[in-house]
Amino acid sequence: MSLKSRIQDTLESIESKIEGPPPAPSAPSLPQDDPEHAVRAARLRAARQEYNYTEVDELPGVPLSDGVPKSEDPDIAWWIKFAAIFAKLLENRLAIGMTDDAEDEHNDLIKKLVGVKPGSDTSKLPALFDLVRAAKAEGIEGRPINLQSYTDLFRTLPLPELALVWPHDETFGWLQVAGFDPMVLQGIDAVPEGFDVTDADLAAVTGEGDTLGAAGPERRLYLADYGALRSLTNGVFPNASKYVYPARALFALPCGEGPRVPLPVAIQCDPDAGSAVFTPADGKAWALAKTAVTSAAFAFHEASSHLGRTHLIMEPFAVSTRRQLSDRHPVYRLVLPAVEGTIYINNLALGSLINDGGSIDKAFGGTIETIRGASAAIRLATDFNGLAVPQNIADRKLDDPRLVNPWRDDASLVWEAVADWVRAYIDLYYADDAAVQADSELRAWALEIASDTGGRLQGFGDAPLGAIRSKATLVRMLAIAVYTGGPGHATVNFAQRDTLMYPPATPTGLFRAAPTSVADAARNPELDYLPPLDIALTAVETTYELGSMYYTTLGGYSPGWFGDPKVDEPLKAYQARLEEIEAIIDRRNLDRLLPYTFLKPSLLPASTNI
Amino acid sequence: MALFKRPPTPLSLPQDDPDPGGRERGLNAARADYRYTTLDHVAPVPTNDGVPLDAYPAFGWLALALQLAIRLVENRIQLNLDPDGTAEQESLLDDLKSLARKGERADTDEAHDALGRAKEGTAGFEGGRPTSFEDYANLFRTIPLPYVAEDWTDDSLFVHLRVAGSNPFVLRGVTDPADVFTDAMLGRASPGDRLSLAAAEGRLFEVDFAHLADLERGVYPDASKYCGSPRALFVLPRGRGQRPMRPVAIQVEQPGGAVFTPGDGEAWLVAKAFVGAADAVVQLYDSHISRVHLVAEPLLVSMHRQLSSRHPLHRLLAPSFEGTRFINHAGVDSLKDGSGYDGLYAPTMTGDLSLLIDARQDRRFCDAMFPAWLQASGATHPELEFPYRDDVGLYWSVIRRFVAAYVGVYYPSQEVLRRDAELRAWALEIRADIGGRMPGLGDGAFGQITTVENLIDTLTMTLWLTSARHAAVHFGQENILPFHPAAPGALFRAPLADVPQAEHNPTLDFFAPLETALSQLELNWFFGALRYTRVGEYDDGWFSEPAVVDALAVFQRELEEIEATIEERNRHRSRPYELLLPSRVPRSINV
Repeated sequence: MSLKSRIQDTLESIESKIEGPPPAPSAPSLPQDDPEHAVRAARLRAARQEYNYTEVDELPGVPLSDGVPKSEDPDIAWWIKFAAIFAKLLENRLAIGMTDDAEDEHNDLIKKLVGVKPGSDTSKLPALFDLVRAAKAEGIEGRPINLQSYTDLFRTLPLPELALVWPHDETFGWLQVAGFDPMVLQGIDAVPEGFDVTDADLAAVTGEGDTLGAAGPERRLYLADYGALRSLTNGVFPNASKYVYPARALFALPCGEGPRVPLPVAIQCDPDAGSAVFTPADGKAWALAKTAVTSAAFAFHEASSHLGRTHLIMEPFAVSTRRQLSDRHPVYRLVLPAVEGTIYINNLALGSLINDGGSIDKAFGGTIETIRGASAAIRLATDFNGLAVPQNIADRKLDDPRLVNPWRDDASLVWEAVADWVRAYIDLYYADDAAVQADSELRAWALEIASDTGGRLQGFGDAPLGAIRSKATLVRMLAIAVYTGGPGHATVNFAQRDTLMYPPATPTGLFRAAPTSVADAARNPELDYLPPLDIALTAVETTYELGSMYYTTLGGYSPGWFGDPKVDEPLKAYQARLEEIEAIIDRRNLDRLLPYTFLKPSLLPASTNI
Repeated sequence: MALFKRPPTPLSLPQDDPDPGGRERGLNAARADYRYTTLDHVAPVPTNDGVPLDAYPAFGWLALALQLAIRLVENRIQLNLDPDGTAEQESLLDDLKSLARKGERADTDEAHDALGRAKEGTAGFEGGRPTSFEDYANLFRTIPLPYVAEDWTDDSLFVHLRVAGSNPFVLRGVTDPADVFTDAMLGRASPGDRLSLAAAEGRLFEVDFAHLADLERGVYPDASKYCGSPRALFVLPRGRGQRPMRPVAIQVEQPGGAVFTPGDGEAWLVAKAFVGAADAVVQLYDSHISRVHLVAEPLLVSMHRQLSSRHPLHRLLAPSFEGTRFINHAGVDSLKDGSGYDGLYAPTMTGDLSLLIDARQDRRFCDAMFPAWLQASGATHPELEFPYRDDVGLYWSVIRRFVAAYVGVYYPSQEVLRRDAELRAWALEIRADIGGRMPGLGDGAFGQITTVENLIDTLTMTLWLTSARHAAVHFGQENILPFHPAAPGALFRAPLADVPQAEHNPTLDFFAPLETALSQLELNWFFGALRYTRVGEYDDGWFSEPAVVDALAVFQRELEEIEATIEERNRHRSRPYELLLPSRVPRSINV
């Protein structure tokens, strides 16, 4: 059997074996109803030995688990899947071509990676992964000759569809509502000061006679603002000047009837510096300005929408749930599957993704220190309530049905299903608000998550301190947590593979300073703004690695996990609803500009584990 | 191409394949062989990077090629090259004959090598200037003299070549004739007629090569070459029934060049020759290579890259591309400075290639579909004898019926089609800048195919382009283009400024030296006589779905009807048009 088919078979054979955490031992109960106070207390004391908060220099102020407790080690099924992905990366490198010696070495590595099986010692695997990441692909270095040089990076890895459609303005708009980061676009009433856009600029895109004065009140103006990136410093690692801009892009809905994709009207790369405003009439300068925006969007995506607002938000739930809720607590059983693998993966990311000299450092425009700093600041400033989908849509003024927004439409369905399930589950255990207030473990849990000495999560629980006083608050907090750990993270994570994997469309940074004028753009070849090939390959591989790792499924708990037959009925209803949503999204995709698959329930893991 | 012998696996759409892993592995393997690249001399027109092993010609093709090479070399030997040259050709002839005798046991590398030597051609033949037009006919020793040689100076042949020649794609209906043409000129061709009336009645036609004025003229190998930038006006005289048009006048150079009419004697003959030369340049680089071969190229490259061999559309399309990658590689590769083609055509190779590149970049796939082309041509007058138009249209309808039946079997609804991610990727990639760079394919925002109707049109276009449309532009290489005086790729004296100048410039001097004429003969005839496979014919068992098998039987019967229809039409036409007889139309572009 060929190596290729072995990798494939390994991948396939483990599809059926995905399991959640091991079944909980006994029937759930609230502390006030559990006669075995002492047993509960003793087990919590033991858990608190293992689970503690700490801070690290790299992410100032962000509460993290102090070390990775033994029980946080991933399941073997996770390792098998992850190892198979690295084998795929090597397979691609082999197809690119290398010397015989290197080929033998790579084939050995692939054998080791696809040889991981139940019972394998996984302790050496992270080192093996680092080896793969560090291995140089032969002939992949230096500047590209043309765009084909980037296409050639995809030998056995799939060339994403975005590569075929990215130069269109419509694609640029589509990415804001159905791309790698649909969490940025916001409706605006008027164009922000300093962003000099004229009625003529608008009308050229939206239709003759249109004016900013009309479009604003009609809710046809939208803004993607990456101003949070102004704290970044441009990097030079490993060996060339790189740039990232706190860019902003104005979008508008064309005049007319029916739902429309927002189209880009104008871009300003460096608002603080009062830089030039480019429009579609500017030809090459416009194309480069769009690239400046997508590279900024990539940086913002990783620092904010991905790391800052999912991974680092979920960490306190992973820590405090262990520290404050007995494993008999019904909320423990609801929350734990939503944080399976989170402590481990966050720790891994710190050590081998956003580490000094790691792939983000190498690939991105900003220095790694300032990227991490921006991520930490965003995490600490995030209002937890803003992560609830309806609230988020309202905050960003995205509710106009004329705005085509697949993220909004699909996320709303999934959110509702999650919230309904959480409500039904909580109804099983809490008769009324009094029962919530009488739950001492829950109180300690919530206070710790909200506390400055604990999880530092803004807006968590009820004011002022973050305790949870009502069923309604409890349901909302849990729904946000379950949604953010699973679908919320999946929205931004899996889109990496399809919409961040093609470097010319979404470079990790600019490799020449953004154009200052049409004349400046004319002087510089378009290719020079794109990454050198080794950095491009790093970006391809990292987005593939992260975006291909599907482990666990939303709503799919292991048998007996809840230890309570009462749960069966609402759980079945939840699972049935997710299946319906799958069909609804499939149906919607038939009529969309391109399919939007990142919120299909079958592709949503239960937790942030990659 | 053994892969055409037996279909390997049952067909399925990607959304229904029980083995997606195996499917992906198959596609990955194909993607290693099929990758877009841009060759410098035709940039940015995309082609595949290299010739994959499965794209080399089948034995049947090689056997035909060897037979033709034998005849080519025999012809050459009869021409009495110098003694050394003859000895070399005789040894080549022995090699070719021995390979041909070995049949399937012949070593294919040796066969390709021998064919290459045969095609290298006429080295050693120094014919020099002809002493009469007979000299051109005398180049045909064992190769039959083309029918056009018989009366190549006749106006009726000049008309025939516009509507049933190698390049019948450029004739246009004229609604607003240029002011260099007058009613008086028209009156000689159509007594009592007026330009405004003829235009209003759709009876005025032209071929216009104004854009050639911008192309730099070449001197390769050793003489100044010309093709003018002519425009020729034709009229369909008033009358009844289908009838041929007549030439009215020719302006040899635009803008501002002299206008010649049929009464101008030798000067008229020269003017017609310039139309022939311009037509030949456009025929090869625009109508033929650019709009057929290089349009088929991305359709086939993306078929391999994006449609699994289990995909029903891969099964439908693959036979239409048999041999195409191989011949495109050879064809595009040979378009270099100093090549055989460089010597035959008037513009410099850079000029020729700019024609090719522009035609490929600017023309929309959908506009080249027969109904759209016909509409845009404006040459729709039903009484105009226009054999190409009438015969090629028969194919469009018949192929479309077959394709519609086929598509109906696998895409019972629009929904099924929109769920087909491989189909989407196929169309997107053909259109994309990093893919096939083909404007006008698909009906979605980015070039996706979103409706069953558009899919049927796209596939019909593909099957039609690779069979009938290619045959129409290619097979004139057998018995039109080899005869230099009727279809010169270049003329060797500058256009006449007026009629009296003709007296000081003998007509014969406009035509090529004999070695160039021989090179034109050989380059054209070799591939022009090679007919491999036949439209509508597929290997036994290639299609197995009963509804498809039935549809194929209908398709084949309708092709037989086309054969009969064309034969019947030819009995009434002023000259027969045989390029589109289904029995002579291959299924794929393999030459």
